[in-house]
Amino acid sequence: MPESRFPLLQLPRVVLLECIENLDVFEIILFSLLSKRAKSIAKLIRLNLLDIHITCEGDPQIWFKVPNVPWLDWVIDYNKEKDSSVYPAFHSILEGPKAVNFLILHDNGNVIGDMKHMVEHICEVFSSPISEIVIFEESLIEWIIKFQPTIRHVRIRKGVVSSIETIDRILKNIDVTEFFGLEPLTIEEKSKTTEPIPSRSLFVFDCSWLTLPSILNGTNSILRLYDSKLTPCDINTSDGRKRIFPKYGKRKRKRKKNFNFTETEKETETIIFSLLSERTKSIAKLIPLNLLDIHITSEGDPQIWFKLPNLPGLDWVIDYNKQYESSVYPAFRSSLNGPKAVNFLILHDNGNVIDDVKQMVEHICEVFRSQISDIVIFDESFIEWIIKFQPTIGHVRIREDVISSVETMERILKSIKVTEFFGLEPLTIDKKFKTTEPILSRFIVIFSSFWVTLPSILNGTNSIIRLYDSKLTTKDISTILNEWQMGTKLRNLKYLEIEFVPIQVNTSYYEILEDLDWTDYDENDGRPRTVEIDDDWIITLPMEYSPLNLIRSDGMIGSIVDIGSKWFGEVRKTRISFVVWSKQS
Amino acid sequence: MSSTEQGTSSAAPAEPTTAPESAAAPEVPESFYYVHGKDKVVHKVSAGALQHSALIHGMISNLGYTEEQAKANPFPFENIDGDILQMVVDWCNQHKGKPTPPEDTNLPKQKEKLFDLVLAVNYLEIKELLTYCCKQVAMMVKGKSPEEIREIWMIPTDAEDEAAEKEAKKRAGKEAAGETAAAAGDAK
Repeated sequence: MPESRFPLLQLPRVVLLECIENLDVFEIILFSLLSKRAKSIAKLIRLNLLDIHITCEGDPQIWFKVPNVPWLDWVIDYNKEKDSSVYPAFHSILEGPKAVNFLILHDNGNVIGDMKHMVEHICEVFSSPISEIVIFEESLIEWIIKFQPTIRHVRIRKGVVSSIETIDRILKNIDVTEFFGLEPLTIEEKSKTTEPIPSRSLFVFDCSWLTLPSILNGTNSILRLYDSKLTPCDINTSDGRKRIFPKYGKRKRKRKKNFNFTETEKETETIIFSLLSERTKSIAKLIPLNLLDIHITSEGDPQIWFKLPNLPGLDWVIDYNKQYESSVYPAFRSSLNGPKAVNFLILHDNGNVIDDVKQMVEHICEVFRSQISDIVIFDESFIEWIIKFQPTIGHVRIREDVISSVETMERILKSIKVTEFFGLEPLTIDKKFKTTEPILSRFIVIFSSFWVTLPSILNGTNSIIRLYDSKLTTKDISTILNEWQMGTKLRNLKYLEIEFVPIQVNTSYYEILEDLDWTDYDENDGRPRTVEIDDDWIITLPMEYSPLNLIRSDGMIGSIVDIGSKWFGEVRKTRISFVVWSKQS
Repeated sequence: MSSTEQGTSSAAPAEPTTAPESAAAPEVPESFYYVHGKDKVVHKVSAGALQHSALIHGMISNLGYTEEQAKANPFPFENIDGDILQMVVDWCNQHKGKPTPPEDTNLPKQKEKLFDLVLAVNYLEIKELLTYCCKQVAMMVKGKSPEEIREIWMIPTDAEDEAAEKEAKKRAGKEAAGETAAAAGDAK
């Protein structure tokens, strides 16, 4: 028994609805079943369920989905294996790229009646129709005719229909729009129908009752008939011109089978399939599928990540690992992290992993006609490889000490066009190296940025700049801010952060501010609290200090939101953060 | 400049968290307001913290009170218990000028207190705190059976609802009859 209680229905209506909106779909259903009042409150949530279907896989079950989460199924299962006190029970499972949440209710001997009531209740509360029914018990036929006579998919289980009258009743009273499947049945041999069956796709075992006029007068798109009484003449009429099944020539069906294999198996299996031979690779290339967000990284193990279109919550990872005996590879594993899932294909790191990664990426990019969007360069040999294989790329991050010479540094800057993000971790190259050329990508973050000069920044079109251990002077930074305010340079700038070590120990960061035309009145209304780099990366800005504002003639405001010095051992580092915004944004 | 080079380190943070030693000048002095609940205990709260409450923010935005005026005119919230107002003030102070995190685990666990807090937060229009509270309310029934949900949330059955409705109608009828009789008496 709960120790204390909460009078939910006494909350103001808006707050009450917000509480209900925080429930998951099972909890909303259980709540809505408590009373008529609870049901009418649940109806106000205006959540529509998708793909409601009734089936019986051992237990009678009701399946559905919620919008925008196509990989997650919700199942109400009626079960009688355990003592009635354990019900209702909740249970979740992960099956490859999909997850299923179960609400297990007690089958107390009246399961068909209970299930019908539950479906009617769910359809009413969520204003959603049934999309599919597997009729595994005869009483469901009359019920569906009465409750929802138009339905997309109907499958009738073996032995449920025992007379041609029932078939007639089904065909006349249920409008099946997509798929009608009828498993073997036991009716009199002489029963026949000449009426067309309206569903797009028709799949009938024991179809002795189905006649040629029924087929010829129909508009079915896909027909699969077994144990038919149609004659060869019916199938290929005597003049040789009129075929019942023009789309199902032998060659086409075989080809279709190949496609089914590769399209429906997991993507990692498609990749393995495509690696078997040049011929399998050519077959895999016929799949009209592009991979998204291919990226190469090394999180302990070298890894290749990618996504499929329309499944943003699911990542696929090829991981090269050497922890186990080679015989255990390849291995498959899935993990669920909150709302996201990851499927791993784990391959053996046999000592030549860098080349294996390169070859695999080249193969994947070719088979799926896709590009690498992101690379973490953790081995120097990737630099020449990426220059040759795909010199234009969205994101590049170069790990610490991968670059060891000025020549390599120059080669990267000249030969790789990084469009979105360029990140460079600390490196040990000749400190005399400098560049005056702009760095092209929208967002740059550079540790050990001693080589980035004032012209390089001023002539760039970067939107977000973060430099650490910079050799820029207070005068240089003052110039950057001045040029931004005049509107002559850095028109795209959204955020600038520079950490530098003053040349003179006693240099004050106030020197940056000396020549600036900053305002001392309040222009903070609407100042952003964050800078969004992309969906997964947001910089939180310090808000505790009143900023200094520079106003540009077009109304844009540049706020120095953080400026100060701090000792790191014997080194005093100064940092300045500058964010650009407007009152309209 | 070897000192600069020594400072180069892989530990250089992508998201520096250290605050600078001193802030940019000039700083506007922060203004404070005063609120009290049913217990008349006055709480001093900065305007920054009060920004979380759309109701109070709307009230103070055009006042232009001096410190003395603000002290002399505390905002009375007679419908909010003192301990609940204290919780609200503490939350506003803790989250002043900060982005609110996705979860807040400091909300009261006692259901009665949470109910009063939800009503107060809704009245004061503190959107983020209301969101946390509603999540907390929803969490109460995680993994519970229908009867446990009914018990926790005090959901009456249909029969109880019908009986309560009948009772309310009966009471309303009696009150209307009483008023009519009183009006007739006045007319005489």
